[in-house]
Amino acid sequence: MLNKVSILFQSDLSMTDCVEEFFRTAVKRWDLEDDRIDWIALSLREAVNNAIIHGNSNLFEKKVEVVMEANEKNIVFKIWDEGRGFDINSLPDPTTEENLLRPHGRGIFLISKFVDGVKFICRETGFGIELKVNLSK
Amino acid sequence: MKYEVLEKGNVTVIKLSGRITLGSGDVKLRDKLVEELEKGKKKIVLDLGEVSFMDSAGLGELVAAYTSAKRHGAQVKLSNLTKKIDDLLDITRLSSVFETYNSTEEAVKSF
Repeated sequence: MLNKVSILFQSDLSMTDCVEEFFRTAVKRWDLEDDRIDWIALSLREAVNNAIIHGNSNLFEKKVEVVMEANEKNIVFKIWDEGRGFDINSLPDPTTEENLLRPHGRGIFLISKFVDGVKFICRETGFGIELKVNLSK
Repeated sequence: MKYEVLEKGNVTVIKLSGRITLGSGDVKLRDKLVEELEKGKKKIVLDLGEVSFMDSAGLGELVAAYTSAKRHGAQVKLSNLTKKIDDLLDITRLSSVFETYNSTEEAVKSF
């Protein structure tokens, strides 16, 4: 069984709620625990917000594409923006003493804690992040 | 996000409920806290018992609440954390920043 859905939208932060709602409806077909669903939803929200705010610099006309692809083993999300990407190694660790009181910079960190795989990806029109959720866990 | 403000002696309790996420609750929380600090409130408890969901922006607002309070010579403590919020604070090591209490009564008494 292979399912693939793509949602394309302009850089509007209210779309993050729509993506989450779509995910919460779609995920009902799998037997995942409520807590895990919440953590995946959180990761998805962080990725979409990052794409809009950082990737597309909050420019409404720039687009974000969320692709959700699933088979028996995994759900893979690809969140694409029109930005220039970034170096994951340049992100400060939000848990170190000097960064603990910074109000920002925890999004990617949380994603990496709550999904089973994170990969930065690129294509001609921009960059993206891939989140992998293992369904057999 | 919704909130309710209760005065317990000289302690201000802000009871939060709903979701605290980017664009939905994060700014509201910040504005309410600043309002209380500007009124001269020095002892504040954020009761998170009915917060159902929080993202990194929500966590950022808790941190901002902590630092703003400090700047005003005030103190913010957290009470009634759900398991989910507790886990988020642990994972991000923010549990080492905040004083947290199982109940609002305990938090109020701790000042």
